[in-house]
Amino acid sequence: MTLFLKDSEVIEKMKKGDESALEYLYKKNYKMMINLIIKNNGTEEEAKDIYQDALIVFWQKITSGNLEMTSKISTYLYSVCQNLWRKELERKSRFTSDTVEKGFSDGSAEKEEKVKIIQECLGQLGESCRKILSYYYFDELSMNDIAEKMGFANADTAKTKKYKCKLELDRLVKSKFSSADFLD
Amino acid sequence: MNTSERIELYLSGNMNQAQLDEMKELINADNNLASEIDLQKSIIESIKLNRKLALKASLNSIPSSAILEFAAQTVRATYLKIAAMVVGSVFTLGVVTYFVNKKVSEPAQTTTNLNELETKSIEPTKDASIIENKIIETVGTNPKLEIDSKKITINSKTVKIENKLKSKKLATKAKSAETNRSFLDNKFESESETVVKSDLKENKEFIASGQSSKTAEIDITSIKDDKHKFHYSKKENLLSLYGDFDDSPYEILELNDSSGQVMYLYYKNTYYSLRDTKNGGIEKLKKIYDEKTIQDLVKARKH
Repeated sequence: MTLFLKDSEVIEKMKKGDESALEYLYKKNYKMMINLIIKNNGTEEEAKDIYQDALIVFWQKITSGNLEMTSKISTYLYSVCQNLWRKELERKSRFTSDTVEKGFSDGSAEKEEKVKIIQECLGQLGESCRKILSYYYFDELSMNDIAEKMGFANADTAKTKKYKCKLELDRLVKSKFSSADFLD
Repeated sequence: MNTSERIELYLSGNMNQAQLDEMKELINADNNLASEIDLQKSIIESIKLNRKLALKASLNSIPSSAILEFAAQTVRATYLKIAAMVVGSVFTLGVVTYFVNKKVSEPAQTTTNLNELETKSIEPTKDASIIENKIIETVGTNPKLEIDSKKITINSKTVKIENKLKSKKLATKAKSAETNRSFLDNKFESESETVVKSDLKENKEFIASGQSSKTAEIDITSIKDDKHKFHYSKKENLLSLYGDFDDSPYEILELNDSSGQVMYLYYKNTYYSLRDTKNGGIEKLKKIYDEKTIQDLVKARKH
Protein backbone atom coordinates (compact mmCIF):
# COMPACT_ATOMS: atom_id res chain seq x y z
CA MET A 1 0.00 0.00 0.00
CA THR A 2 1.13 3.56 -0.64
CA LEU A 3 2.89 4.98 2.37
CA PHE A 4 0.49 7.82 3.00
CA LEU A 5 -3.18 7.86 2.16
CA LYS A 6 -5.77 10.56 2.50
CA ASP A 7 -8.74 9.83 4.77
CA SER A 8 -11.01 9.72 1.74
CA GLU A 9 -8.76 7.10 0.11
CA VAL A 10 -8.76 4.98 3.27
CA ILE A 11 -12.54 5.12 3.45
CA GLU A 12 -12.88 4.22 -0.23
CA LYS A 13 -10.73 1.15 0.32
CA MET A 14 -12.65 0.17 3.41
CA LYS A 15 -15.99 0.44 1.65
CA LYS A 16 -14.73 -2.20 -0.75
CA GLY A 17 -13.67 -4.38 2.18
CA ASP A 18 -9.94 -3.85 1.60
CA GLU A 19 -8.38 -4.93 4.88
CA SER A 20 -5.04 -3.33 4.07
CA ALA A 21 -6.74 0.00 4.82
CA LEU A 22 -7.51 -1.25 8.32
CA GLU A 23 -3.89 -2.24 8.86
CA TYR A 24 -2.79 1.14 7.55
CA LEU A 25 -5.01 2.95 10.05
CA TYR A 26 -3.83 0.69 12.85
CA LYS A 27 -0.19 1.58 12.23
CA LYS A 28 -0.88 5.23 11.59
CA ASN A 29 -2.76 5.96 14.82
CA TYR A 30 -1.23 3.33 17.07
CA LYS A 31 0.96 5.62 19.15
CA MET A 32 -1.70 8.24 19.78
CA MET A 33 -4.41 5.76 20.81
CA ILE A 34 -2.16 3.60 22.97
CA ASN A 35 -0.91 6.70 24.80
CA LEU A 36 -4.51 7.78 25.41
CA ILE A 37 -5.32 4.53 27.27
CA ILE A 38 -2.02 4.27 29.09
CA LYS A 39 -2.34 7.85 30.35
CA ASN A 40 -5.76 6.89 31.70
CA ASN A 41 -4.58 4.05 33.89
CA GLY A 42 -4.61 1.33 31.24
CA THR A 43 -1.95 -1.22 30.47
CA GLU A 44 -0.44 -1.58 27.02
CA GLU A 45 -2.36 -4.84 26.48
CA GLU A 46 -5.63 -3.17 27.45
CA ALA A 47 -4.75 -0.24 25.24
CA LYS A 48 -4.15 -2.51 22.24
CA ASP A 49 -7.40 -4.37 22.87
CA ILE A 50 -9.44 -1.17 23.13
CA TYR A 51 -7.76 0.35 20.11
CA GLN A 52 -8.42 -2.76 18.02
CA ASP A 53 -12.07 -2.80 19.13
CA ALA A 54 -12.40 0.87 18.19
CA LEU A 55 -10.89 0.20 14.77
CA ILE A 56 -13.24 -2.74 14.19
CA VAL A 57 -16.25 -0.61 15.15
CA PHE A 58 -15.08 1.96 12.64
CA TRP A 59 -14.48 -0.71 10.01
CA GLN A 60 -17.92 -2.20 10.45
CA LYS A 61 -19.64 1.17 10.28
CA ILE A 62 -17.79 2.10 7.10
CA THR A 63 -18.24 -1.23 5.31
CA SER A 64 -21.94 -1.34 6.19
CA GLY A 65 -22.36 2.26 4.99
CA ASN A 66 -23.68 3.33 8.39
CA LEU A 67 -21.24 6.19 8.89
CA GLU A 68 -20.73 9.45 7.05
CA MET A 69 -17.47 10.99 8.15
CA THR A 70 -17.60 14.66 9.08
CA SER A 71 -14.31 14.70 10.99
CA LYS A 72 -10.86 13.26 10.57
CA ILE A 73 -10.61 9.51 11.03
CA SER A 74 -8.10 9.95 13.85
CA THR A 75 -10.51 12.26 15.70
CA TYR A 76 -13.31 9.73 15.33
CA LEU A 77 -11.11 6.86 16.50
CA TYR A 78 -9.90 8.90 19.44
CA SER A 79 -13.44 9.50 20.68
CA VAL A 80 -14.41 5.82 20.15
CA CYS A 81 -11.34 4.77 22.15
CA GLN A 82 -12.28 7.19 24.93
CA ASN A 83 -15.84 5.82 25.11
CA LEU A 84 -14.76 2.19 25.00
CA TRP A 85 -12.18 2.76 27.67
CA ARG A 86 -14.66 4.58 29.88
CA LYS A 87 -17.11 1.64 29.50
CA GLU A 88 -14.32 -0.82 30.24
CA LEU A 89 -13.40 1.09 33.39
CA GLU A 90 -17.07 1.07 34.44
CA ARG A 91 -17.34 -2.63 33.68
CA LYS A 92 -14.21 -3.37 35.66
CA SER A 93 -15.51 -1.37 38.60
CA ARG A 94 -18.95 -3.04 38.43
CA PHE A 95 -17.39 -6.49 37.98
CA THR A 96 -15.30 -6.06 41.11
CA SER A 97 -18.26 -5.05 43.32
CA ASP A 98 -20.61 -7.67 41.73
CA THR A 99 -18.19 -10.53 42.34
CA VAL A 100 -17.77 -9.42 45.90
CA GLU A 101 -21.52 -9.15 46.53
CA LYS A 102 -23.19 -11.77 44.26
CA GLY A 103 -20.61 -14.05 42.73
CA PHE A 104 -20.96 -15.53 39.19
CA SER A 105 -24.60 -16.42 38.64
CA ASP A 106 -25.89 -14.38 35.67
CA GLY A 107 -26.10 -17.21 33.11
CA SER A 108 -23.31 -15.75 30.95
CA ALA A 109 -21.37 -18.99 31.23
CA GLU A 110 -24.21 -20.86 29.53
CA LYS A 111 -24.32 -18.31 26.75
CA GLU A 112 -20.58 -18.48 26.33
CA GLU A 113 -20.80 -22.24 25.98
CA LYS A 114 -23.43 -21.87 23.25
CA VAL A 115 -21.24 -19.45 21.35
CA LYS A 116 -18.27 -21.73 21.73
CA ILE A 117 -20.16 -24.62 20.12
CA ILE A 118 -21.30 -22.45 17.20
CA GLN A 119 -17.71 -21.28 16.77
CA GLU A 120 -16.68 -24.90 16.42
CA CYS A 121 -19.33 -25.38 13.75
CA LEU A 122 -18.06 -22.33 11.93
CA GLY A 123 -14.62 -23.88 12.05
CA GLN A 124 -16.02 -26.94 10.31
CA LEU A 125 -17.27 -24.82 7.44
CA GLY A 126 -14.96 -24.20 4.55
CA GLU A 127 -12.86 -21.00 4.46
CA SER A 128 -14.92 -19.69 1.59
CA CYS A 129 -18.22 -20.13 3.47
CA ARG A 130 -16.84 -18.50 6.61
CA LYS A 131 -15.75 -15.49 4.58
CA ILE A 132 -19.03 -15.13 2.73
CA LEU A 133 -21.04 -15.30 5.95
CA SER A 134 -18.69 -12.84 7.66
CA TYR A 135 -18.85 -10.36 4.78
CA TYR A 136 -22.62 -10.63 4.75
CA TYR A 137 -23.46 -10.52 8.47
CA PHE A 138 -20.58 -8.52 9.96
CA ASP A 139 -19.25 -6.29 7.19
CA GLU A 140 -22.72 -6.00 5.64
CA LEU A 141 -21.17 -5.86 2.20
CA SER A 142 -23.46 -5.92 -0.78
CA MET A 143 -23.72 -9.09 -2.83
CA ASN A 144 -21.86 -7.29 -5.62
CA ASP A 145 -18.93 -6.50 -3.33
CA ILE A 146 -18.93 -10.05 -1.96
CA ALA A 147 -18.89 -11.41 -5.52
CA GLU A 148 -15.98 -9.12 -6.37
CA LYS A 149 -13.98 -10.00 -3.27
CA MET A 150 -14.63 -13.73 -3.64
CA GLY A 151 -14.11 -13.76 -7.40
CA PHE A 152 -17.64 -14.90 -8.21
CA ALA A 153 -19.24 -14.25 -11.57
CA ASN A 154 -21.95 -11.98 -10.22
CA ALA A 155 -24.13 -11.01 -7.25
CA ASP A 156 -26.56 -13.84 -7.88
CA THR A 157 -23.79 -16.40 -7.55
CA ALA A 158 -22.74 -14.77 -4.27
CA LYS A 159 -26.35 -14.86 -3.04
CA THR A 160 -26.72 -18.55 -3.83
CA LYS A 161 -23.40 -19.34 -2.20
CA LYS A 162 -24.34 -17.42 0.93
CA TYR A 163 -27.69 -19.25 1.15
CA LYS A 164 -26.02 -22.67 0.86
CA CYS A 165 -23.32 -21.78 3.42
CA LYS A 166 -25.90 -20.57 5.91
CA LEU A 167 -27.95 -23.72 5.40
CA GLU A 168 -24.87 -25.85 6.04
CA LEU A 169 -24.01 -23.91 9.20
CA ASP A 170 -27.58 -24.27 10.48
CA ARG A 171 -27.41 -27.99 9.84
CA LEU A 172 -24.12 -28.33 11.70
CA VAL A 173 -25.33 -26.31 14.67
CA LYS A 174 -28.65 -28.13 14.87
CA SER A 175 -26.89 -31.44 14.76
CA LYS A 176 -25.13 -30.52 17.99
CA PHE A 177 -28.13 -29.12 19.79
CA SER A 178 -31.73 -30.06 20.14
CA SER A 179 -34.18 -27.18 19.84
CA ALA A 180 -34.81 -27.37 23.54
CA ASP A 181 -31.25 -26.37 24.28
CA PHE A 182 -31.97 -22.93 22.82
CA LEU A 183 -35.11 -22.26 24.77
CA ASP A 184 -34.59 -19.79 27.57
CA MET B 1 -41.26 -15.00 2.01
CA ASN B 2 -40.42 -18.25 3.79
CA THR B 3 -39.83 -18.65 7.53
CA SER B 4 -36.02 -18.44 7.43
CA GLU B 5 -36.18 -15.27 5.29
CA ARG B 6 -38.71 -13.81 7.69
CA ILE B 7 -36.50 -14.66 10.69
CA GLU B 8 -33.49 -13.10 8.98
CA LEU B 9 -35.42 -9.92 8.23
CA TYR B 10 -36.65 -9.80 11.83
CA LEU B 11 -33.14 -10.20 13.22
CA SER B 12 -31.68 -7.62 10.85
CA GLY B 13 -34.12 -5.05 12.31
CA ASN B 14 -35.37 -4.10 8.88
CA MET B 15 -39.06 -5.01 9.40
CA ASN B 16 -41.67 -2.30 9.25
CA GLN B 17 -44.02 -1.83 12.20
CA ALA B 18 -46.81 -4.00 10.75
CA GLN B 19 -44.44 -6.87 9.98
CA LEU B 20 -42.88 -6.50 13.42
CA ASP B 21 -46.24 -6.64 15.19
CA GLU B 22 -47.25 -9.71 13.19
CA MET B 23 -43.92 -11.41 13.94
CA LYS B 24 -44.25 -10.77 17.68
CA GLU B 25 -47.70 -12.36 17.67
CA LEU B 26 -46.32 -15.43 15.87
CA ILE B 27 -43.39 -15.74 18.30
CA ASN B 28 -45.74 -15.54 21.28
CA ALA B 29 -47.98 -18.19 19.76
CA ASP B 30 -45.26 -20.57 18.53
CA ASN B 31 -42.50 -21.84 20.84
CA ASN B 32 -40.64 -23.56 18.00
CA LEU B 33 -40.44 -20.29 16.08
CA ALA B 34 -39.14 -18.55 19.19
CA SER B 35 -36.42 -21.16 19.69
CA GLU B 36 -35.50 -21.02 16.00
CA ILE B 37 -35.15 -17.25 16.25
CA ASP B 38 -33.01 -17.67 19.35
CA LEU B 39 -30.81 -20.17 17.52
CA GLN B 40 -30.44 -17.93 14.47
CA LYS B 41 -29.60 -14.97 16.69
CA SER B 42 -26.84 -16.95 18.36
CA ILE B 43 -25.52 -18.14 15.01
CA ILE B 44 -25.37 -14.62 13.58
CA GLU B 45 -23.73 -13.28 16.74
CA SER B 46 -21.19 -16.08 16.50
CA ILE B 47 -20.47 -15.25 12.87
CA LYS B 48 -19.92 -11.62 13.85
CA LEU B 49 -17.73 -12.60 16.76
CA ASN B 50 -15.78 -14.89 14.50
CA ARG B 51 -15.17 -12.09 12.06
CA LYS B 52 -14.23 -9.67 14.83
CA LEU B 53 -11.74 -12.15 16.25
CA ALA B 54 -10.31 -12.74 12.78
CA LEU B 55 -9.82 -9.00 12.26
CA LYS B 56 -8.25 -8.62 15.70
CA ALA B 57 -5.95 -11.54 14.95
CA SER B 58 -4.99 -9.84 11.71
CA LEU B 59 -4.18 -6.60 13.55
CA ASN B 60 -2.29 -8.48 16.25
CA SER B 61 -0.18 -10.16 13.61
CA ILE B 62 1.27 -6.80 12.60
CA PRO B 63 4.72 -6.78 14.18
CA SER B 64 5.76 -3.94 16.46
CA SER B 65 8.71 -3.32 14.17
CA ALA B 66 6.29 -2.51 11.31
CA ILE B 67 4.49 -0.02 13.53
CA LEU B 68 7.78 1.57 14.57
CA GLU B 69 8.96 1.66 10.96
CA PHE B 70 5.73 3.35 9.92
CA ALA B 71 6.19 5.94 12.68
CA ALA B 72 9.76 6.54 11.53
CA GLN B 73 8.64 6.93 7.94
CA THR B 74 5.99 9.40 9.07
CA VAL B 75 8.65 11.43 10.87
CA ARG B 76 10.94 11.29 7.83
CA ALA B 77 8.09 12.29 5.55
CA THR B 78 7.27 15.19 7.85
CA TYR B 79 10.87 16.37 7.76
CA LEU B 80 10.94 15.97 4.00
CA LYS B 81 7.74 17.93 3.71
CA ILE B 82 9.19 20.72 5.85
CA ALA B 83 12.42 20.66 3.82
CA ALA B 84 10.46 20.76 0.56
CA MET B 85 8.41 23.66 1.85
CA VAL B 86 11.55 25.55 2.85
CA VAL B 87 13.19 24.89 -0.52
CA GLY B 88 9.99 25.81 -2.32
CA SER B 89 9.66 29.02 -0.32
CA VAL B 90 13.27 29.99 -0.96
CA PHE B 91 12.91 29.25 -4.65
CA THR B 92 9.67 31.21 -4.90
CA LEU B 93 11.23 34.08 -2.99
CA GLY B 94 14.24 34.00 -5.32
CA VAL B 95 12.09 34.03 -8.43
CA VAL B 96 9.93 36.84 -7.09
CA THR B 97 13.01 38.86 -6.08
CA TYR B 98 14.57 38.30 -9.49
CA PHE B 99 11.51 39.50 -11.36
CA VAL B 100 10.91 42.41 -9.01
CA ASN B 101 14.53 43.55 -9.45
CA LYS B 102 14.29 43.05 -13.18
CA LYS B 103 11.14 45.14 -13.35
CA VAL B 104 12.73 47.88 -11.26
CA SER B 105 15.94 47.99 -13.33
CA GLU B 106 14.41 47.61 -16.79
CA PRO B 107 12.70 51.00 -17.18
CA ALA B 108 15.83 52.86 -16.05
CA GLN B 109 17.95 50.95 -18.51
CA THR B 110 15.56 51.63 -21.34
CA THR B 111 15.55 55.32 -20.53
CA THR B 112 19.31 55.35 -20.59
CA ASN B 113 19.33 53.64 -23.94
CA LEU B 114 16.87 56.05 -25.37
CA ASN B 115 18.86 59.02 -24.06
CA GLU B 116 22.00 57.51 -25.45
CA LEU B 117 20.27 56.93 -28.70
CA GLU B 118 19.06 60.49 -28.89
CA THR B 119 22.56 61.75 -28.18
CA LYS B 120 24.07 59.55 -30.82
CA SER B 121 21.49 60.07 -33.51
CA ILE B 122 22.39 62.36 -36.35
CA GLU B 123 20.19 65.12 -37.55
CA PRO B 124 19.05 64.08 -41.01
CA THR B 125 19.32 67.59 -42.32
CA LYS B 126 23.04 67.77 -41.66
CA ASP B 127 25.45 67.29 -44.53
CA ALA B 128 27.99 64.58 -45.18
CA SER B 129 30.79 66.26 -43.30
CA ILE B 130 28.82 66.05 -40.12
CA ILE B 131 28.25 62.39 -40.78
CA GLU B 132 31.92 61.96 -41.29
CA ASN B 133 32.63 63.65 -37.97
CA LYS B 134 30.09 61.44 -36.34
CA ILE B 135 31.68 58.32 -37.74
CA ILE B 136 35.09 59.47 -36.61
CA GLU B 137 33.67 60.19 -33.18
CA THR B 138 32.03 56.82 -33.04
CA VAL B 139 35.13 54.93 -33.99
CA GLY B 140 37.35 57.18 -31.95
CA THR B 141 38.35 54.29 -29.71
CA ASN B 142 40.09 52.65 -32.67
CA PRO B 143 43.23 54.67 -33.41
CA LYS B 144 43.90 52.79 -36.65
CA LEU B 145 40.78 54.04 -38.25
CA GLU B 146 41.18 56.81 -40.80
CA ILE B 147 38.30 57.96 -42.86
CA ASP B 148 38.66 59.70 -46.16
CA SER B 149 35.94 62.29 -46.15
CA LYS B 150 35.94 62.30 -49.94
CA LYS B 151 34.72 58.76 -49.97
CA ILE B 152 31.61 59.69 -48.07
CA THR B 153 29.04 60.81 -50.52
CA ILE B 154 25.92 59.83 -48.70
CA ASN B 155 23.32 62.52 -48.70
CA SER B 156 21.16 63.52 -45.78
CA LYS B 157 18.37 61.17 -46.75
CA THR B 158 20.63 58.15 -46.42
CA VAL B 159 21.71 59.17 -42.96
CA LYS B 160 18.15 59.73 -41.92
CA ILE B 161 17.18 56.23 -42.98
CA GLU B 162 20.22 54.71 -41.38
CA ASN B 163 19.51 56.49 -38.13
CA LYS B 164 15.90 55.44 -38.20
CA LEU B 165 16.94 51.87 -38.72
CA LYS B 166 19.39 51.94 -35.85
CA SER B 167 16.93 53.72 -33.59
CA LYS B 168 14.29 51.15 -34.30
CA LYS B 169 16.63 48.27 -33.62
CA LEU B 170 17.88 49.81 -30.42
CA ALA B 171 14.49 50.83 -29.18
CA THR B 172 13.09 47.38 -29.81
CA LYS B 173 15.86 45.47 -28.18
CA ALA B 174 16.38 48.04 -25.45
CA LYS B 175 20.02 47.16 -25.29
CA SER B 176 22.40 48.95 -23.03
CA ALA B 177 24.44 51.91 -24.13
CA GLU B 178 27.47 49.66 -24.14
CA THR B 179 25.78 47.38 -26.63
CA ASN B 180 25.01 50.35 -28.82
CA ARG B 181 28.59 51.36 -28.63
CA SER B 182 29.81 47.90 -29.54
CA PHE B 183 27.29 47.84 -32.35
CA LEU B 184 28.92 50.88 -33.84
CA ASP B 185 32.42 49.74 -32.92
CA ASN B 186 31.88 46.39 -34.58
CA LYS B 187 30.61 48.12 -37.61
CA PHE B 188 33.81 50.07 -38.02
CA GLU B 189 36.30 47.58 -36.69
CA SER B 190 38.99 45.77 -38.71
CA GLU B 191 40.20 47.41 -41.90
CA SER B 192 38.92 50.87 -41.36
CA GLU B 193 38.62 52.26 -44.86
CA THR B 194 37.36 49.03 -46.31
CA VAL B 195 34.83 48.79 -43.57
CA VAL B 196 33.68 52.32 -44.15
CA LYS B 197 33.40 51.65 -47.85
CA SER B 198 31.62 48.42 -47.15
CA ASP B 199 29.30 50.15 -44.75
CA LEU B 200 28.58 52.83 -47.28
CA LYS B 201 27.98 50.19 -49.87
CA GLU B 202 25.52 48.51 -47.52
CA ASN B 203 23.76 51.79 -47.07
CA LYS B 204 23.64 52.24 -50.79
CA GLU B 205 22.18 48.77 -51.15
CA PHE B 206 19.67 49.61 -48.56
CA ILE B 207 18.80 52.78 -50.39
CA ALA B 208 18.78 50.89 -53.65
CA SER B 209 15.82 48.91 -52.42
CA GLY B 210 13.76 51.80 -53.72
CA GLN B 211 13.84 53.79 -50.53
CA SER B 212 16.13 56.62 -51.62
CA SER B 213 18.49 58.11 -54.19
CA LYS B 214 21.39 60.46 -54.50
CA THR B 215 22.42 63.24 -56.78
CA ALA B 216 24.78 62.07 -59.51
CA GLU B 217 28.35 63.27 -59.89
CA ILE B 218 29.12 63.28 -63.60
CA ASP B 219 30.70 65.37 -66.37
CA ILE B 220 28.00 66.48 -68.78
CA THR B 221 28.45 67.86 -72.25
CA SER B 222 25.57 69.23 -74.30
CA ILE B 223 25.99 68.93 -78.08
CA LYS B 224 23.76 70.34 -80.80
CA ASP B 225 23.61 67.92 -83.69
CA ASP B 226 21.18 67.86 -86.59
CA LYS B 227 21.47 64.10 -86.92
CA HIS B 228 20.90 63.38 -83.28
CA LYS B 229 18.14 65.60 -81.93
CA PHE B 230 17.31 63.73 -78.73
CA HIS B 231 20.13 61.34 -78.07
CA TYR B 232 22.91 60.68 -75.58
CA SER B 233 26.10 58.80 -75.11
CA LYS B 234 27.47 57.66 -71.78
CA LYS B 235 30.52 55.87 -70.64
CA GLU B 236 31.29 55.80 -66.92
CA ASN B 237 31.06 59.41 -65.68
CA LEU B 238 31.12 61.06 -69.08
CA LEU B 239 27.72 61.98 -70.40
CA SER B 240 26.96 63.72 -73.67
CA LEU B 241 23.50 64.96 -74.49
CA TYR B 242 22.69 65.46 -78.16
CA GLY B 243 19.93 67.89 -79.08
CA ASP B 244 18.64 71.23 -78.03
CA PHE B 245 18.32 71.23 -74.28
CA ASP B 246 18.52 74.98 -73.92
CA ASP B 247 14.81 75.80 -73.92
CA SER B 248 14.12 73.97 -70.65
CA PRO B 249 16.25 72.98 -67.61
CA TYR B 250 17.13 69.33 -67.12
CA GLU B 251 18.31 67.32 -64.17
CA ILE B 252 20.54 64.27 -63.92
CA LEU B 253 19.51 61.87 -61.19
CA GLU B 254 21.08 58.75 -59.91
CA LEU B 255 19.12 55.90 -58.40
CA ASN B 256 20.36 52.74 -56.85
CA ASP B 257 18.74 49.48 -57.71
CA SER B 258 19.72 45.84 -57.47
CA SER B 259 22.01 46.13 -60.50
CA GLY B 260 23.89 49.13 -59.11
CA GLN B 261 23.78 52.86 -59.81
CA VAL B 262 21.58 53.95 -62.65
CA MET B 263 21.42 57.49 -63.98
CA TYR B 264 18.32 59.20 -65.26
CA LEU B 265 17.54 62.38 -67.09
CA TYR B 266 14.65 64.52 -66.06
CA TYR B 267 13.53 66.80 -68.81
CA LYS B 268 10.19 68.49 -69.41
CA ASN B 269 8.33 66.40 -66.83
CA THR B 270 9.61 63.18 -68.30
CA TYR B 271 12.25 60.73 -67.12
CA TYR B 272 14.75 59.06 -69.41
CA SER B 273 17.19 56.26 -68.78
CA LEU B 274 20.90 57.10 -68.95
CA ARG B 275 22.41 53.65 -68.82
CA ASP B 276 25.88 53.32 -70.33
CA THR B 277 25.61 53.20 -74.11
CA LYS B 278 27.24 50.42 -76.06
CA ASN B 279 30.95 51.24 -76.44
CA GLY B 280 30.11 54.85 -75.50
CA GLY B 281 28.19 55.28 -78.76
CA ILE B 282 25.17 57.50 -79.41
CA GLU B 283 21.73 56.18 -78.62
CA LYS B 284 18.25 57.62 -78.55
CA LEU B 285 16.96 58.75 -75.16
CA LYS B 286 14.41 56.22 -73.94
CA LYS B 287 11.48 57.29 -71.84
CA ILE B 288 10.85 55.54 -68.50
CA TYR B 289 7.43 54.00 -68.13
CA ASP B 290 7.97 51.91 -64.99
CA GLU B 291 5.78 53.54 -62.34
CA LYS B 292 7.89 52.39 -59.43
CA THR B 293 11.03 53.86 -60.92
CA ILE B 294 9.18 57.07 -61.70
CA GLN B 295 7.93 57.28 -58.10
CA ASP B 296 11.46 56.79 -56.82
CA LEU B 297 12.75 59.46 -59.17
CA VAL B 298 10.03 61.86 -58.08
CA LYS B 299 11.06 61.27 -54.48
CA ALA B 300 14.69 61.78 -55.39
CA ARG B 301 13.93 65.07 -57.04
CA LYS B 302 12.05 66.29 -53.98
CA HIS B 303 15.11 65.73 -51.85
